[in-house]
Amino acid sequence: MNMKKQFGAISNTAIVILVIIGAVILYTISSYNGLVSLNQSVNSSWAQVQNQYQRRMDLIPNLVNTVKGEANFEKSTLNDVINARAKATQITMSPELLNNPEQFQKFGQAQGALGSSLSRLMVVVEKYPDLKTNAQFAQLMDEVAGTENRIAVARRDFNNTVQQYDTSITLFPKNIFANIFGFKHKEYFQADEGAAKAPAINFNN
Amino acid sequence: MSRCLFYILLFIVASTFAINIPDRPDSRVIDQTNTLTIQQQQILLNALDKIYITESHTEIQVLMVPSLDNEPIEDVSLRVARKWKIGQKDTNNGAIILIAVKDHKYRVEVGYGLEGVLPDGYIGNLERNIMTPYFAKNDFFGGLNLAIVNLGQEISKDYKTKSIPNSGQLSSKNAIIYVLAGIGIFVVIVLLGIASGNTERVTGILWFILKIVTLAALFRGGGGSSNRDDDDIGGGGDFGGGGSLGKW
Repeated sequence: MNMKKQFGAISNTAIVILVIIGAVILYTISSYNGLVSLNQSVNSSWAQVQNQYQRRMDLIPNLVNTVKGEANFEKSTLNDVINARAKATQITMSPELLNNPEQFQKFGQAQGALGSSLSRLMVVVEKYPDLKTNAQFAQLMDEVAGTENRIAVARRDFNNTVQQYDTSITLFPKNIFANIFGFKHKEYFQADEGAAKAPAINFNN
Repeated sequence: MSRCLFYILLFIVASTFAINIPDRPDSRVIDQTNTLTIQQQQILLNALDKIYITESHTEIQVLMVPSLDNEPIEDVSLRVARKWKIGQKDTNNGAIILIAVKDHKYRVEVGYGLEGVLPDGYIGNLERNIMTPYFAKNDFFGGLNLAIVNLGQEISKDYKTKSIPNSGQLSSKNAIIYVLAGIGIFVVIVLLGIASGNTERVTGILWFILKIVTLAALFRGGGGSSNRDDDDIGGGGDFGGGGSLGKW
């Protein structure tokens, strides 16, 4: 009877300790999973950003050709777009950019310059009524405007996922796990790229 | 014992508190401007329901508001489309036609999954050739009706179910894991308690455990959102900024 009581007492403490350890393990696992999940969100939203930037790159040759066909079109604006696009393609888009802050910012700037040159082109296009009434050109403009919008959305979404991720690895107590498991800060897209807002082209009048 | 119950309740509340429940419209045609008559709304609804049924649950939503108060229409349409989760979760086959009557602006916002079959150029044409002319004459029903008919035809022509990557926004199912974990610990303790034959100690440990797990559930903070896609409307579709805007 004495032994049973003693046995009972040890068991009691042991259970409590086991449970606390269990809770800590559980919490660690869920924290880690949470961080992995947020990291994945960043990666997948980044993939979408790349998608939309690529879409814009793919649109531009067609746009340039259509505009070139227009007699007397201002060459300098067009050349700016061509050059900006060439520059932007020099930085390879890949998930690796997320880990390289300097390259990431360069990438953002190159794309921003491309966006700005496109904006200027669209302003100049307004002066050519022939182009505006051309149905095919109007559709092309729809695509360009749509792509600019998609880029803006993808960048916002990306910044949102980075914010969630960054907050998570900074706040206590998750920052402890972040450090242990090697989750690092990620870059945001800075400021507005030149044409972050869809150009205010109205082809519906 | 009542202490135990209290913590059980707290635990349940804590788990559900972290889950957001999005707003949903109760109709595919929402007119806040009193422009469309009931009959007109019904005709549009029938057309939209037909598209829903025949085109793999493609959801097109019509929303007419008086004004956007200077907020860019593409921002508003995207926010509404995402909040209402128009379209199905895996196929993102949703679209919303947003008309700001006083602003003379409208936009067709196209979900990820419909971007292939309804490219911006197509939408732009639809707006230029059909919607804008009708809206300019104040015939919103006529414009919407024809637009929906055309959209339905275009979708049926070349529509394949496909899975498009979403915007990367987090939708966490961690809540379920926590609830299961809590129940798991609960059960283990009960079994241990029964095995040792001391019910007093079991009760004492039980509510201690519940305290910890409840705190964990609360402490987890900033939970995820649950996709209530067991309904006709608001199936979890996502949008990426496709579509086109129009003015009259």
